[in-house]
Amino acid sequence: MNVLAFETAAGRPSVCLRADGRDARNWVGRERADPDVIIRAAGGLISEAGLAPADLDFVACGRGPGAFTGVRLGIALAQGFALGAGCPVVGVSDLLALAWKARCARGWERVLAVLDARRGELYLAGYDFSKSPARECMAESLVKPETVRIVGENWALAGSGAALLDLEPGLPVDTAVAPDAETVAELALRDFASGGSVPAGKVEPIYLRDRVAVPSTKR
Amino acid sequence: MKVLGIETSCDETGVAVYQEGTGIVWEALYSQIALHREYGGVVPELASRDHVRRLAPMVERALAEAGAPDAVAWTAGPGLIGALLVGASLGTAFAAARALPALAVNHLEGHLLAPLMGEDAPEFPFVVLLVSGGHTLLVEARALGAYRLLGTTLDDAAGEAFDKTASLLGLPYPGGPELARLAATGRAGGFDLPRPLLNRPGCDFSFSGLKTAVLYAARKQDGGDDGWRADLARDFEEAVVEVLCEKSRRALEATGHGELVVAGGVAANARLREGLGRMAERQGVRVIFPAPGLCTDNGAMIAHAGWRRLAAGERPQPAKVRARWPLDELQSPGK
Repeated sequence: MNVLAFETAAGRPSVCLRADGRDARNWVGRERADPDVIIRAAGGLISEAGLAPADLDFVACGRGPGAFTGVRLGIALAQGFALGAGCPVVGVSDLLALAWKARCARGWERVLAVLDARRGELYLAGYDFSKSPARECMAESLVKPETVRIVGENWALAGSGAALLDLEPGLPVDTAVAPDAETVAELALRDFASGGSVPAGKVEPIYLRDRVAVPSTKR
Repeated sequence: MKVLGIETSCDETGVAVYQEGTGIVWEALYSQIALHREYGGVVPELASRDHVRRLAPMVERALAEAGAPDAVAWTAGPGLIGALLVGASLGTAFAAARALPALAVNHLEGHLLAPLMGEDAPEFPFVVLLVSGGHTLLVEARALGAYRLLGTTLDDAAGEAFDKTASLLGLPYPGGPELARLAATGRAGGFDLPRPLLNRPGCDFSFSGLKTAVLYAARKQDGGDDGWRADLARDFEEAVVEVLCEKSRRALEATGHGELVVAGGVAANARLREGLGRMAERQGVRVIFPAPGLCTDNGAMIAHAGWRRLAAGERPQPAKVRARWPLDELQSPGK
């Protein structure tokens, strides 16, 4: 199974190629990378692996939430590449990718993934990895930090947004961890195996913040 | 050569396929007018969200119905950065996956070259009046990529002035076509509106003062009979058309060229077409309007402009999206 993954919604842009039986090949760019820089990086990973775009089984991307422009960048890159290669797309939650990366690095069982959504708000979701399959026990949402209360045992916090929370002392926290393309690729491989891919035109971005303008009648 | 064109610079998602020797063989356009209406204007974030929702399914259909392209052309600017990024990302990624040339196209050049697709196409050199919601320009087109700016607006674009004036008169967004419809029922001459910059030499425009004059004229009305709105709309339209016609005449005179190409959304305005037609007859020049579907933003003009540049030897280069990208910064292919 060959997958090319893009993550541009949260943190530095990254691209990952996972090819059959081989280690993941990764590229991490500078913030605000142009599309053609990311595309050249993707092309480089594919050719280094001795593959061609037509060898891809699917393309994956972080589908948000995250920076609005970054969410669209990753989705449009994945869509374009998939349309060119003639393969489907798997969109992965950036909050799930964040939580899973922290879980893999630290062995945490229950992870609250929190991204700074700016304007004094957070993108947040909670996952329980203690049993398989993992369970989303707190749905993705846009919240104010002061409304977050941690109830129950064994929770740990991951992501930039954790720094905005007033937490109990002793709670495990990693504010530096961020979603990346390698984690997106890993999660997408599972989704693909269970039929979670869609045609390029059907990938849905998730913004969570949907009120972005005020109608002229309400000003 | 078959070129896939992608346009996402503002509030229209356009995809088209231009085939050398045949012309446009496939095209689709999705307008976001309904999406932005309740906000009274284009909301950039909503525009970008809609582009990413619409574009891939449109490209899927283009590929299925028009076959595989040999190159991709996408709008790189000027326009809304977030909106441009959608087309740029999808277009460059698609081209990379198929090892096709990908060309960044200037949106204004797309408009300017669109009439060359028609049967009575002009030949270089000619003068272009580009009038839309975002631009009002007079340009001397000497050759592909060789453009000299003759005049531009110092404030509002003509289409923007139409939309803002329509809003002052209580008309729904987008107000330009609504204002023209209202003006058609009005009588001319009731309001003494200025003809901005007509008393100065040169080809520059200014429309914000005219809009303000409409505002003051409207404030003096005491309600009652609403007929004054149609009369004011008519006088506003007359003023804009007179300025556009006179500046176009000056541009033709200054360059000595015998053809005027009119492009952009305002080119669909009936009174402007009449006015320019009369001016051209008096001056003994030819005025050329693109087909109505090519006046507004569309993917066809981007596919066509991309094909022209590729056919002339342009090599694809890494490109960035640009909110501003003046026409006179362009170069002819190969230079």
